[in-house]
Amino acid sequence: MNNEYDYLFKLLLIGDSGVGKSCLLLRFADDNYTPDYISTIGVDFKIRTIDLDGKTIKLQIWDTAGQERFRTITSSYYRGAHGIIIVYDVTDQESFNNVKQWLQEIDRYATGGVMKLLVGNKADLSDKKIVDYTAAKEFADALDIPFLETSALSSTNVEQAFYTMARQIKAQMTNNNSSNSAYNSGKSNVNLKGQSLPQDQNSSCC
Amino acid sequence: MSKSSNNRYNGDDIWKNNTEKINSELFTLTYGSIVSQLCRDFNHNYHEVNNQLDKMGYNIGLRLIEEFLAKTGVGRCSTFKETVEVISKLGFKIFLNITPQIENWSSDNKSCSLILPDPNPLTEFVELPNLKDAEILKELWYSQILCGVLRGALQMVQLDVDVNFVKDTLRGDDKTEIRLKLNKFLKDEVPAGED
Amino acid sequence: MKVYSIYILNKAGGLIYQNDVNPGLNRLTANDYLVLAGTLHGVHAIASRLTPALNGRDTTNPTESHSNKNAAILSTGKVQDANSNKSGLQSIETDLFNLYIFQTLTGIKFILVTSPNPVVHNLQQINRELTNRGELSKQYDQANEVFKHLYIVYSDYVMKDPFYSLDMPIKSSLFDMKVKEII
Repeated sequence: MNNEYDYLFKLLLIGDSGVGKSCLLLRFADDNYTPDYISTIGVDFKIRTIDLDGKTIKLQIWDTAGQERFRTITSSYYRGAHGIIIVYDVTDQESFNNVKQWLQEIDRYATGGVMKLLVGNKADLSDKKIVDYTAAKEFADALDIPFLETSALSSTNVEQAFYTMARQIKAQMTNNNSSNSAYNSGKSNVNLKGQSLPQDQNSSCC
Repeated sequence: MSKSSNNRYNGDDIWKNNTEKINSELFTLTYGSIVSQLCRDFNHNYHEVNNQLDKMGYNIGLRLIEEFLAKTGVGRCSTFKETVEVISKLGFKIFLNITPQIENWSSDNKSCSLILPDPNPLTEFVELPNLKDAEILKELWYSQILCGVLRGALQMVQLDVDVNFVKDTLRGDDKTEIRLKLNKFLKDEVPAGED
Repeated sequence: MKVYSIYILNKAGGLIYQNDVNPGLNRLTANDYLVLAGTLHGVHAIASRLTPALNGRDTTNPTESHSNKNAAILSTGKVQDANSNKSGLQSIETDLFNLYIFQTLTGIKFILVTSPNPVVHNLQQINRELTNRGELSKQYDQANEVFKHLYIVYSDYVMKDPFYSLDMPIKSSLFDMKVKEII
């Protein structure tokens, strides 16, 4: 395996149950079929291999359906995630309202500065749509989180969103040579005087 | 747990037997050339030089902690007092062969000072050129890299700690003092499976 | 004890190293290994939830045992076991292979897949073994010995490689070589 991939990024998929998280990714993953681990350990894995600038990157997506039951190990799943995708169902207002709670969860367990992405799923069911695009877009903009709507029928947006996310994570990593990005990307570096330092771009010393 | 091996070391034998040694002068000179180069690169903006040194140290600390744990077997400390003792008597000992004094505990036991012996291994041949540039005495923390190392290493064991110099004999102070302040124990980040 | 495979998982549960040091195991696809690693990460964490709450455990100060350990290091300078995996999944034993998990304070997991215990696996045999734990704990100790050296080699040849990005796949032939030397 040692030569099969250069980077391994951990992406986490969260959101209320029933919003179609798993379906959303089926088309995106390497294999359309992946065995269902959800019922056993509270997480399913989907993997997509992509190529960026000549480097092979594995995106390992942790699909955490039903994790409420395993609340106590939530932190094990959030730990070290590079990106988090929060999914809601455009036909279910409650699932959109709960996005706030999911964001709180991220604040608590995930690394500061982790990449986020908000996805409104089932956009093809236009007659049942309740959550308005502009409302969701404003919400996401206010928090500075990229947002898109998608449906199981067309996965092009998702594809694009994942590439963008992967590119950003990789850029962050190469800028910050010793990038323990899981730790230091978002948490401000505090110096002697207690003011925070900009994450600077030019140092490549280790 | 299991009795690990027959290869038991005693006393500061970890320092003597388990870590690689280099000529300390080469080490001191290498560090000196980094600091002086940074001073030139950042146009004698010593504040920025401090930041750079701190950042370099931080990135070293993130990595060095593994060697420290692998070669000592230190477990989770139950108090910050214990942590600082381990830093002084094992950390500094193993990597720099010095054992800083621990002083000045705050009443809440979250802040204390490490007093480095004089000269510390980084500053043996150093005299700050204050005649050329008076600012340097007020602004440069020559050994700032050490603060970054401690901060990075502690973060990897889930301790958020501020580390900074408050005194340095290079600046004419009576001692060289690093101040540590524990902000937070990052409980949620502790790996599952510890006691 | 024969070591078949070595895995290293970063603190996020991602597989960053996998080396079949001896033939004997089925080869899986790269994706399957990633799923396996993530699953072990989860099961390891869930296992720690089974920790007995009261029986015979001093819950007032859960870190006391570590403190005693650290005090011992400070007073005697003796190197201790760096494994901090106390309540998580430590081993899986089957008729055909054993698997051991070692975890550092920083959250990295080293995993060994080895030959099975050198005892016939039927209940009677195991019961007898319990009264005479020789062979079972011997293999456990051997695994721990391998872990100890692995961790040191990792801390030297991975962490000190200035071009290595933390938490990313390890692709160092120097490290491969050092791992082989241990086995």
